[in-house]
Amino acid sequence: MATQNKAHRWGKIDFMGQAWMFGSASALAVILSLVIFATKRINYGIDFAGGLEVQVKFQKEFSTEQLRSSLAGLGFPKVQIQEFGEKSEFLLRLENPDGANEKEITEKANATAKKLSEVITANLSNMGPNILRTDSVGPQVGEELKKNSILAGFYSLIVLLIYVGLRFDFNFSAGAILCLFHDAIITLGILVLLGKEINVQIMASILTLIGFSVNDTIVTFDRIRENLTHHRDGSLKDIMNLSVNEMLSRTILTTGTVFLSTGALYWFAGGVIEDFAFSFLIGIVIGVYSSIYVASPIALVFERIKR
Amino acid sequence: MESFKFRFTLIIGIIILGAYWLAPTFVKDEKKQKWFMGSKKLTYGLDIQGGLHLVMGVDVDNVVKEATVRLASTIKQTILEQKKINIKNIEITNPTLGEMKILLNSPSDEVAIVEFVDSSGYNTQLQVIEKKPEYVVVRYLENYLNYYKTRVIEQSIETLRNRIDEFGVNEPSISALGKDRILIQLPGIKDAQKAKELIQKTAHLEFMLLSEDAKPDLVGQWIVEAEKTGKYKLGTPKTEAQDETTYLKYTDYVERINVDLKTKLPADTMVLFMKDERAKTLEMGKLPIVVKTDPDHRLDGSSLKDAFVSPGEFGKISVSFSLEPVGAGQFAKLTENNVNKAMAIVLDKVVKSYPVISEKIPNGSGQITLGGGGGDEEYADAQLLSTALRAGALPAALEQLEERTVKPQLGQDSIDKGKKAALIGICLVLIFMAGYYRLFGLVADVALMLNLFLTMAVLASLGATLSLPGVAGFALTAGMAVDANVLIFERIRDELRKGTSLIAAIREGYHRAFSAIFDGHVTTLATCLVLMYYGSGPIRGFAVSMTIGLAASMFTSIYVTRALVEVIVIKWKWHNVNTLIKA
Repeated sequence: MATQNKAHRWGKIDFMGQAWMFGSASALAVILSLVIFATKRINYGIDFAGGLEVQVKFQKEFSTEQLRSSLAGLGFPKVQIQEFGEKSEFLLRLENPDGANEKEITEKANATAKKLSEVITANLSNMGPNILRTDSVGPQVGEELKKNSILAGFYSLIVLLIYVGLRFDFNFSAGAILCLFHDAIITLGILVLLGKEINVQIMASILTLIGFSVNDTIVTFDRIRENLTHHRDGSLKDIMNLSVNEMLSRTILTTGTVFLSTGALYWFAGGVIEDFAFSFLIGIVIGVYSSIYVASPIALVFERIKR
Repeated sequence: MESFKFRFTLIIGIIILGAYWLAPTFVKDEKKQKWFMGSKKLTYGLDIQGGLHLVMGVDVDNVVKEATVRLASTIKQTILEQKKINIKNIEITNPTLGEMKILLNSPSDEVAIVEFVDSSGYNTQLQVIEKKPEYVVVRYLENYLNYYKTRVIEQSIETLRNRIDEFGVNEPSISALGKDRILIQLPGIKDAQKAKELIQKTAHLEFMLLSEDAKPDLVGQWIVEAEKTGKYKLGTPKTEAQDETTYLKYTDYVERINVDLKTKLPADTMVLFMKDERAKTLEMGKLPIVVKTDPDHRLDGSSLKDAFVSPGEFGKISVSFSLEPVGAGQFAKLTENNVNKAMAIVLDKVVKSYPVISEKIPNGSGQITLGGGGGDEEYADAQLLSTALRAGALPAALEQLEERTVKPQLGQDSIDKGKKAALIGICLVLIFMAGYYRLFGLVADVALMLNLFLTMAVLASLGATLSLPGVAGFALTAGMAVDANVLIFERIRDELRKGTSLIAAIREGYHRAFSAIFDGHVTTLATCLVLMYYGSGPIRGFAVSMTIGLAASMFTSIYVTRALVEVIVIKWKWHNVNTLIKA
């Protein structure tokens, strides 16, 4: 080891040296995502927003425009129409009607959903409609789901902060948490930018990718912890570089396998699972990137500030 | 490390346990299902299999409000009777907390009132929170209030379950959701309107005297014969007609049986059924009970006011109930005429219990004493009975908050596609691992399959519902399980490159990779536990399957792979590094 030249001794690629560049890019991406949240209307699914949804499949091909004008003619001008898979399947959405209380709103919403289904079955019968699904979610339920999700997320962050802090170091746990925020926010930012619907499935996928990203980060931290005891002559930066380099093959392998299986879900499953897989694919890439270029460098920055 | 014998016995034992847990989910034959009595099944969520999903809000606060109003008037009355104090008025200041201000006529009454609240039967319900010469403020104890609210929810669930059972849904799931919601999931239901109407209807309570003339064994025999000749059975109609047996829902079944047995049963009696204590549902085990139908021996229970568990004499537990004045008179007559006889408590034609009347019950408030020494089991029985009594009407107004209907074919379509996709995904991973790591890769593949199997088995043993977010949890678990093996195998390769011997490299690999795997798993596990506790619905489903999966992964990807790897290398002396791990 001692005979190797200095640059090679701490790994082939100087990840930490490049970190400032990627770090600024990440910071920029996070800020951009936040700007997107603030400016663009977030397309919440009815799980969160409340409202009613009717999924309909026609036997004949139907364009969104045609369907929109037909429905407008039948007394439903405000229906949002989303194509679902093939050209003949659509998701129709309406916001919850106004009402004095939860009960009234829900009753009205149910009546509207029923009427919409009836109108389609009766008036568009020549297209062979088949109502596959009707959903209605009261406003209170949606609000609560949103609140609960945020609370759950918040508490799990605290648990993470404490556990990583105890097992490693609080600089590291700050790195892990900021990295996690980074992943969740950028992935959500991309999804919102693409106008994807933010629903329970997307939330599950974000939770999943956070799980992966945390695991990636922890595995890297573990190697850093181990190398710190073996190489007492190196600076923290050198040791981080060495560790990330050593873990590179594992990172590529694991990410590759997960990417492979999620890719299969994306290509073959369709429907709800397709969206799940899509956000997950984006998330994995961001997660791997961040566990290399975000988590450790932030831990390093905190270490330096402390000195 | 323990001996190979020990390690493999443990592994095989766990596999067998898993298979036992998972069997009820896959064994379709009803006869064989008896083997797994009491064990639970893994069901698909409605997002996967279709059906009706309803979330009902229970107006618990209103129930508490009403109870408070009722309590205020009783307190005024009791104080007058017991303490001979005439209080000015009781002002309800916060009905949802049961907070009320007892306004006094004379300041000297203060001490007596406080003493009254603290000592009489009210000290388990109420607490004094403020005392002044002019008034005393009391409020429900927090424990009591919480208990009361849970009771309201339990009672609503029981009522709903009775009604839905009547509808003949295959595996309905009715559960409390948070503090004031009930989640109803009815798989395979197509007629949402009819189901909703059924839920809103009120159930019917009756008291009926048991007939002493009919012999239970004989009645049982008659029923078996009638079923055989008429070729019918109690049960959910099956789509696939295996034989000519018709399956009838409960009310139709009772009607049919009574028509068939009319000539054999004593006059003015009919046969009803009670669920066998050991059976899970009425279909699986029912006891025939012959009751009298003439007006002198039965009473409609619609005048029931309240029923609750109370301590009886000699430490026995009993259920106290009270009737409205109209019913009370009739009840007094009925009990007076039938002392020492058994009376069935019938809810929607199902016998819930048949206690023996020990004495006349004059004022319409009676006690049904249950046997036993007052242990937990008796207490639970008493609670069930009181719930069933109260279930005659829903305790609280229900309002529908959420409704979803998914047509099964949509579910089927997405299941098929999703299954295919997941299968392809898993196969790709399996092939990749085996190709990249050779024999050790295959070992990791076995561990991965075992992990999925065990996760499913534990979920099944909990009777969990598998929804899409839950499946997402599986995906993450599988990923982390693979990662654990990649970590170990990369370490082994590192060691081999350094020139370490194979056996030492394996030991070092497992040893060194452990802390990374452990910390990775525990961190995710810890977050999942939090999500399980705070998250609702879908998030919880995700967290539950993740938690189980991660725990299983610690076992399969470390313990199981190590046992397999070591048996190959150490016991079978297979030392060809290139076929083993290709370093």
